[in-house]
Amino acid sequence: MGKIMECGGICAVPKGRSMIALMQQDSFDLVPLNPLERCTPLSVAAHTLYEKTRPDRLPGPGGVLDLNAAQYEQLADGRAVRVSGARFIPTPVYQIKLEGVERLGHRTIFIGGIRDPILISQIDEFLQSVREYTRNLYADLDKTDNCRLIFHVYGKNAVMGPLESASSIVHEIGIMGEVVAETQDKSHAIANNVRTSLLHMPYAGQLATTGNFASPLSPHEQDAGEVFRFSLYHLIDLEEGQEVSLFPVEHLIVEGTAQANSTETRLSDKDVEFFATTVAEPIGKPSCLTQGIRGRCVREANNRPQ
Amino acid sequence: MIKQASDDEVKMMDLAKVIRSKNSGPFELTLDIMFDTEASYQRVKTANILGNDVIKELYQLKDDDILVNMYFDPALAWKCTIKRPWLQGSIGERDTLGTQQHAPLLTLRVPAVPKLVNR
Repeated sequence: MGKIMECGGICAVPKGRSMIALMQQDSFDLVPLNPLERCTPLSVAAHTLYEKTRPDRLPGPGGVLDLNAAQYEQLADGRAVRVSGARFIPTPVYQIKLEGVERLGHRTIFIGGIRDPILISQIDEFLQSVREYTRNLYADLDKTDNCRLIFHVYGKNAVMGPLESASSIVHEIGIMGEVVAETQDKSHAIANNVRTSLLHMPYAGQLATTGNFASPLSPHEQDAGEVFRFSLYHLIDLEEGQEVSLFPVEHLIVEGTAQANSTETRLSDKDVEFFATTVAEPIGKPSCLTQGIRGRCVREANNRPQ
Repeated sequence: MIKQASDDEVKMMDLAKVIRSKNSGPFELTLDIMFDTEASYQRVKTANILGNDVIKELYQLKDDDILVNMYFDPALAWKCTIKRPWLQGSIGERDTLGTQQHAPLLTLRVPAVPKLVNR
C-alpha cells in the first residue's frame, strides 16, 4: 500500500493527484479523491510496474513483498479497488540499505547550437580536436572523474548515448558542454577555454570564419554547482532489535475542537454544480460519454505521436 | 480510450497503451509496455517478440546487461530492466529520471494475428 500511496492518484483512471487508502486486517481499499476518477483492478495492478525492477517482488527493509498471489477486486461503487493477497517474506536477518555520495567537484556548463552543415558533418572530429587542445593547457583534464569535460550533442544521440542505434542527418545540433574540476574557478576557466575553442577553432572546408557556435546566453558559461556521485549503496545486516531502536516510532493523537465549515469551498459555483451532478461512466467503450473524460480523450487523440 | 489496432502486422505503438522508461533505483533502467485488453496483451505475449535477443539488438546490450525480462499477467504488461549504462545524476548524465529511453520500442513490429483455419 505504501508503494502505491507514495504516488497518490497515479493509479487512477484518468491519472489524478490524490488517493485515499483504507487499511483493513488483510486487505486495503483504494479510492481516488476526485469523483470523476476511478481505480480499476488493471490500473492498480499496473502500478506495481512503476519505477520497479520487477512487479512481483518488492524488496524493502526487513524482507520482500511478494505480489504473485495478490488479488485486485473492483468494489461495488465501481470506483474503489480492494487489494489483498500480498505476502511479506522476512529475510533471516533484518537488513536496511545505506546510500551515500561523494563530491566529484564543481561544475560549469555552456550551451549553444551549430547550424553550419560543413561543421556538423565533422563534429565528432572537431570536438576531439577541441578536447586535445584543452588537454594540452590543463594537464589533469580527463585523467580522473574530478577533472572532466563532457559534450552532450543534441541531434546526435545526446539522450540515449550508447543505447541509441538510430542515426540521421540533421540540419542543426545543440551542444551542452560540462566541465567538472575541484574548484568553481578552475571549472569555469576550463569551460571558458573550451567554449572559446569551440567558437574559434578552424576545421576542414570552413567558410564561416566569424564563429562556429551560437550561444543563447551571456555570460556564455554558467555555474552549475557542486556535483556528486553515488559511492555507497549497500545492504547492511542489523543486530536483533536495531530495526526498532534505530527507527523509533511515536504515536500522537491530534484532536481539535473546531467544527469543519461545510459550506466553505475554494470551488466556483459552476464547479460545485458540476461535481454534484456529473456521474462518471466506465471508459471501457470506444466513445467517451462524460464531459470531463471526453475532454481528456480529445486531448489524447490530438497528442498521439504521428 | 481503448486502443484498437488492426489484425495485420502493426507497430507496438499502435497496439500498446503505455510504452515507457524510468529509473528503478540509481543503477537500473526499466522499460514497460502495457496493454488495455487481454487480447492485445496475449497477442504480443504469444508472438514472443520481446525476448533478450531482440532487446540486446535494439539497445546495443550484452547478455548480462539485462536483469529482468518478464510478462506480468495481472497488469497485462511486459517489463524489462537493464543495468543503467551511465551514472545516475552525476557528470555526463543524459536523462536524470530515465524517462526518454523508450523510443526504440515504439516501432517494434507485432506480427499479424494468425488466422484460424477450420478443419
